[in-house]
Amino acid sequence: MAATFFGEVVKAPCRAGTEDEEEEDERKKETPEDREVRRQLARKREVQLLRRQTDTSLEVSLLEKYSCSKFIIAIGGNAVAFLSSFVMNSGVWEEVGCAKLWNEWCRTTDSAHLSPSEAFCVFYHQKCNPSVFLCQCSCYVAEDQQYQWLEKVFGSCPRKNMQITILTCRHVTDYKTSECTGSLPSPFLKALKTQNFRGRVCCSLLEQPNIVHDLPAAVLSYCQVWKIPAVLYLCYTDVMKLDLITVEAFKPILSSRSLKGLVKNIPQSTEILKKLMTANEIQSNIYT
Amino acid sequence: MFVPCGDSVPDLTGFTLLMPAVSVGNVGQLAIDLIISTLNMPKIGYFYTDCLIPMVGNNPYATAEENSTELSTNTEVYSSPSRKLVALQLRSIFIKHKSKSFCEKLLSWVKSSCFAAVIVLSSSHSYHRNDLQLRSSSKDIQMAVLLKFVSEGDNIPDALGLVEYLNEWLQIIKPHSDDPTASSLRWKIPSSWRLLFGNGFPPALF
Repeated sequence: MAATFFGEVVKAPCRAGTEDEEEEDERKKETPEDREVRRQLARKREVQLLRRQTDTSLEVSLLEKYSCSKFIIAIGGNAVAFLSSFVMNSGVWEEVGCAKLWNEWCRTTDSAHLSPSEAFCVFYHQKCNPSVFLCQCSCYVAEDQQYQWLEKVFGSCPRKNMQITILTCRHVTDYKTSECTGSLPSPFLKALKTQNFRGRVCCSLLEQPNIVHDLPAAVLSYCQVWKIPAVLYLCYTDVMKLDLITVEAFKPILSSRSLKGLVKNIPQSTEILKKLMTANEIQSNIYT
Repeated sequence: MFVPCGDSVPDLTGFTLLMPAVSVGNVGQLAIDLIISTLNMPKIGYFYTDCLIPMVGNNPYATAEENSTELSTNTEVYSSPSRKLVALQLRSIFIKHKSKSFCEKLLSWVKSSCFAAVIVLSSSHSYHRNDLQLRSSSKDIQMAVLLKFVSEGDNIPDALGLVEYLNEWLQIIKPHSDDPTASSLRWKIPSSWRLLFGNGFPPALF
């Protein structure tokens, strides 16, 4: 407990998170109805992988069903826009699955009929080379769902003969530096790679004491532990909503081995990106 | 589960396991950082579970450009074979309702690895005393908990105090001299402790 200047006694905040005893106390006070509500909530929060065309769940994890040599995962609106404009518009991609999940931030209930502005998580493979996979994930995957997502996508038998590339954004105020945040030239790109990644990295590595959380961290941790070559490209930006300059900050990655061969016409892709931005601005107009 | 860095699982029979409790001020975790950094303990594996919030970053104990690019995750295992010590470091908090599952998995690993003893470094709020933490007593595992009463804030001095107390018992490094200020100089502060209290500020502010 701590006393404030006003003389009130309040519970002091703790960097260590919820204490174990609080969880134990909650459990002891639970009625059968509480337990049922908690079970139903856990079921609602389960991550499911399904084929939208048939509205059926995948019987096994995605990478147990399909062989994969290259997997590019875009997490967040700007990373998704980058892959849409530069990679998906340069080839023919077939949808192979969609992750259906519900949490306080991502309330998509009907994954079969998603509008462009809704958050989603869809998996594709390239028609001419089906071992090349893409994931476009613009929904937030909560901390209790991240390991489930990994299991549904990667399964229980990690494969080392594939390369993973993850693209995501973070707000520039999360970047720890001895300089003042306001003087940083955002957006800028940083990278983290697993021990088994041997390729060239397209920007400087993320220095300590900076760390990464959430789904990108879950995927990279999985790759590090199971010795899968993987690289995470992190764009620090001061604009978290869809933004042309932020998306274009990912451009150095176009010369990497992961994306080489997947991108055909960069000027055309840039035009497609500008149209995507314009379309998004119209949708976000409160008068339409 | 424990996943080794190399191809085979190292033999840890008879080793002492040091681990932190994720607790107020993160003092236990800071203390384990000091031990790993000072003894230059190499990483031998990961304790991979679905119980802690995922996080990654580059080597928190980097001393030079060459060793600064090794990726680190939320739960890693380090060892000092000459001292028969193993250190488990936890770098994030438990996912809600997963702490019990973690304890069960950890105890299973402790038993299968045949550790001689487990020492937990922890901290508690200054206003709060509670003895409910010792879950292993019924599982025939020798365990001790070293706990310091602290408040949230700059907990580096608390971590130094806790490792000094552990060192008096285990003699991990040379015992301290009579000069109390010498204690903080013998422990190597990890490079990842930079900027704990925020970025630089704009000079124009003044």
